Amino acid sequence: MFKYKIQIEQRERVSNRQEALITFYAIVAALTLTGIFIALNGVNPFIAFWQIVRTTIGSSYGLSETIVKSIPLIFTGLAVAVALNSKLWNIGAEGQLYFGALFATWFILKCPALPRTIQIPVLLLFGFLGGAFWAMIPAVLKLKFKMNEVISTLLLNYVAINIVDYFVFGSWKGKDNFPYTEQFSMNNRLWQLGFGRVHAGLIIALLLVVVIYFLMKYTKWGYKVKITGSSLKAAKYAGININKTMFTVFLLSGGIAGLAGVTEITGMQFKLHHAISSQYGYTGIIVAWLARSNPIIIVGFAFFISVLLIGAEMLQITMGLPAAVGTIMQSLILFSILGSELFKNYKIKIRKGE
Amino acid sequence: MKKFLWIIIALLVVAMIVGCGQQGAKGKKLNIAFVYVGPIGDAGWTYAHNDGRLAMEELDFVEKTVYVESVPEGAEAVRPITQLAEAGNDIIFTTSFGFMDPTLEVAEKYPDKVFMHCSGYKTSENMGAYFGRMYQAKYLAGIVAGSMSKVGKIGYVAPHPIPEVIRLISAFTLGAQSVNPDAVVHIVWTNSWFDPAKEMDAANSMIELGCDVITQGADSAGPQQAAEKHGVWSLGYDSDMAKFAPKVHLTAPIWHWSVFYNKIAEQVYKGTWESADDWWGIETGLIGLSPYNDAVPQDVRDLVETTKQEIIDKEFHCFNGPIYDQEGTLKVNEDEHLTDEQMLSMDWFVKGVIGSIPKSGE
Repeated sequence: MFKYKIQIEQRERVSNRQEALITFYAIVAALTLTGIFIALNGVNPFIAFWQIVRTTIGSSYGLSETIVKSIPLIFTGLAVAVALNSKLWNIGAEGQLYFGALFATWFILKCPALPRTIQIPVLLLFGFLGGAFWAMIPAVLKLKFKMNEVISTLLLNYVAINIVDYFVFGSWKGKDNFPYTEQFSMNNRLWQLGFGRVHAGLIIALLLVVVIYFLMKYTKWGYKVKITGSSLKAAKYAGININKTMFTVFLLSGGIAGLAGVTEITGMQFKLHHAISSQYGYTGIIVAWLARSNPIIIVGFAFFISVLLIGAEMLQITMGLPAAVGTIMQSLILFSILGSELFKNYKIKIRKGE
Repeated sequence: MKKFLWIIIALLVVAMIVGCGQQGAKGKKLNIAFVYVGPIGDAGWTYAHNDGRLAMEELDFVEKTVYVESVPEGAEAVRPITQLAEAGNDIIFTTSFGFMDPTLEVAEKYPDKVFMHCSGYKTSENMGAYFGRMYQAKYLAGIVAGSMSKVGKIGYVAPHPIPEVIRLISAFTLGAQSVNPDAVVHIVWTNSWFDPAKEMDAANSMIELGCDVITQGADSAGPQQAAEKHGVWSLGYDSDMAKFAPKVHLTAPIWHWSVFYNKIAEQVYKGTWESADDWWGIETGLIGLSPYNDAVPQDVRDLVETTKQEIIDKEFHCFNGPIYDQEGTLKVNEDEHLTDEQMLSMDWFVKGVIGSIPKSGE
């Protein structure tokens, strides 16, 4: 009856090149769809995309802001990627970010006056601990009670933000009765690098990228994590303590997300309030997925997404497009990337039928 | 494939030329920019400001207006404000309290431009603060709500526990009590300016509690839709929300920002603008009530009208004593009223408000 039939065949294995190509096509597809949306708003999409480039990497202010915005995205991307290495989904980087900021702020309010060179490392430590603490809850729930970590980490985000709200609307409220803490003093702020608002969080993020890269690639622990991620049975057979490995992965992932929070408040916001994160925890998922969890590639994609976000914001000013363009672009990219998984694992063939 | 690539390159080149050609010379007319906390389609706060922006476009000395919407509060806002200043705008309005410090920061870097921040208190040489005495309209709305409620229980969906919101809830409650001394106002905090689902939930829970009038200080029409569904009276906020609850929407205390914005634009154009902390009252027309539902009886309308006239004539102040707080302590003596200072830092509810304010630590 039908002249042709479509067959879906599983692929044996996928080369890195193929994987990169699929990612590339997915991004092109997402941008094309965004372009159509932009065109429907009566704006030439090519000009719009050119404006995105011009206003971000094309001006020194835009470039500095793009780098500033990619700092938290590197952290949250890394956080999600570390967990993905052992096939754990950490959707909770947003909440862990807030908890990192919460712990660090607690220390700042209790003990604000240590010398900067001591204060900053202590704050980073507190931020890491805060994030790790918040990630421990879903870790325990998963390992003890087999609760799905996608749901628990996601829902705990809302709880974390509400806890931060509880403090900034309550006992940590500043003198002027507005819901944020007082401004942090200089010794509680990260060093500025002299390029726009770019702060030392960038250096910390890049160092962490190198550390995680080596940890995953060249240590026994990294090997254990990967085996656990590729096959639980194989891991068990190899005598790996799966629960312990997963637990440490969760804590590390949460801790890294916590660093996003502490660098954001000490490098950029200089106070704790309700809106310290522009969805960085969620955008980190897209970054990690695009980079296929490779720490070094994460830096590139964090920057890329940052270009799109800031560029989309500028489109409102230069072209009068709605703010939704940025959100739509992000969702379409994630959507296409997830959709492209089909093509990664399967070949689609069209054959002549009888 | 190669052909396709060439077409893309060609298009990019064209786009580049067109894109670069856009920066032309400026005339003497004003370019005006807005930074909004919500989307312009929020049907409330931002929508009302955006109406004011659109009205300014009609002025013959205004060249162009632009806006950036859904901007996060805090340090993130520095970027769009800077970009708007860089883009050659002469006046930049920022319309949420979380934009106060970012606006101040950018204002210092662009001393030849005018910055106007809504709902804060910090000013500088080239940055003004502005707001309206919305508590007056809220008091009038309270009269309507108090008259229409049968059980004397009113539900109020409240956004953030800050002085502005606390002041408005208190004024509304006093208005309701002026016609029904036993009226109480239940509040639920949403800790957000714009969260339709959460605000609708808050309204639903208060309707279940037995409130037969719903109103709000948050910006979405969620509470209105909840009221319409359950068939209880409702009062909107920010802008006329009747279209979301045509049957039950009684009226809404609303902002007519164009009154203020046109004035500021004119002052800047003529060079007479000076930094100030403006707090305009109901006599200016900046605030008022939206058209009534047919169900609001004439005597209620008349009462609102006479009260409004008394406020304008300064014969009556919404926070006239005696006023007691929730614990029953006398806060304002008879023959006295709250000063502007006291209203701006208000951190206590009047008696009859059911709900609490998170207390600061000191």
